[in-house]
Amino acid sequence: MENISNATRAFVLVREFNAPRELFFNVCTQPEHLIKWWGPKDSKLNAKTIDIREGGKFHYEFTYSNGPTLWGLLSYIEITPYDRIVFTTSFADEKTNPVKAPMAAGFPLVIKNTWTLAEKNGKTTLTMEVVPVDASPNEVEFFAGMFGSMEQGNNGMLDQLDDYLTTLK
Amino acid sequence: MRRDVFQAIADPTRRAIIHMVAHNNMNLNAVAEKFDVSRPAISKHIKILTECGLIAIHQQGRERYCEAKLEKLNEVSNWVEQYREFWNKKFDALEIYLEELQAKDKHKPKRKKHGKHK
Repeated sequence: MENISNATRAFVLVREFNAPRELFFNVCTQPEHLIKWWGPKDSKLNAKTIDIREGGKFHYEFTYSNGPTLWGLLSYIEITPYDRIVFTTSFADEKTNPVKAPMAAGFPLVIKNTWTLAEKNGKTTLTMEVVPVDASPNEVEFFAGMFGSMEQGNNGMLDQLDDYLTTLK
Repeated sequence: MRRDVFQAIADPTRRAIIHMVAHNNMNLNAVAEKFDVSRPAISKHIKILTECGLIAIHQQGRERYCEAKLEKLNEVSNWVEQYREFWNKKFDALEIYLEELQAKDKHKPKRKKHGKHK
């Protein structure tokens, strides 16, 4: 039930990839593949733990050429070949404790991502629902206000925010 | 009680108030007149908005004006945009990687030496 109510409060990213679903799934869940594409382009990636199974973790260190070293953490909740991958993301310390995002005060500590894969004509459509896990009731309400109306095909609050932000410039 | 920007904009009336004063400062009476809700209810919303730092009240003579403080909203929308950007970059990289893998399969290229040393 919690999943369902959370889903309606998520923001959603959809993207099509030119690859069959099985390959897509493998490339996201097999360590030797994942490390090839996961690291930010201009950074060095070092996987400290890469244990991709339900309850497992991907804990990595990344360093930008002239920046600090940061740690990222993915914790896997559900892995169902070739349909669904559910996991959380957060910044972390070197001991896998989630930490607040550097340089972004409003960023939630832990974010839950639900991936659903569908294949058509050899292409994979990824639908990704994003919801903060540690959300305060206020944040949850905010999400409902901001993204709730997206299902009716308009961006509601998001457009309003855009309006506000353009007035700042 | 904790007041934050999330609480400020969780309520549709408060969002409407912010929207209204976003472009022009408005006096409190003028804001209240735009709503069917009672005057005290609007005052309460405005009080919450000021406590959350989204609105500032200025006294000008006998009038009190609302001014929107939109920098606060930046904090909120920023993470959504940043997170979207984070994933879009990952997906770009993933797309390229998938292309490379499939191209290899098709053309069965000679094995490349990566020059790795232990």
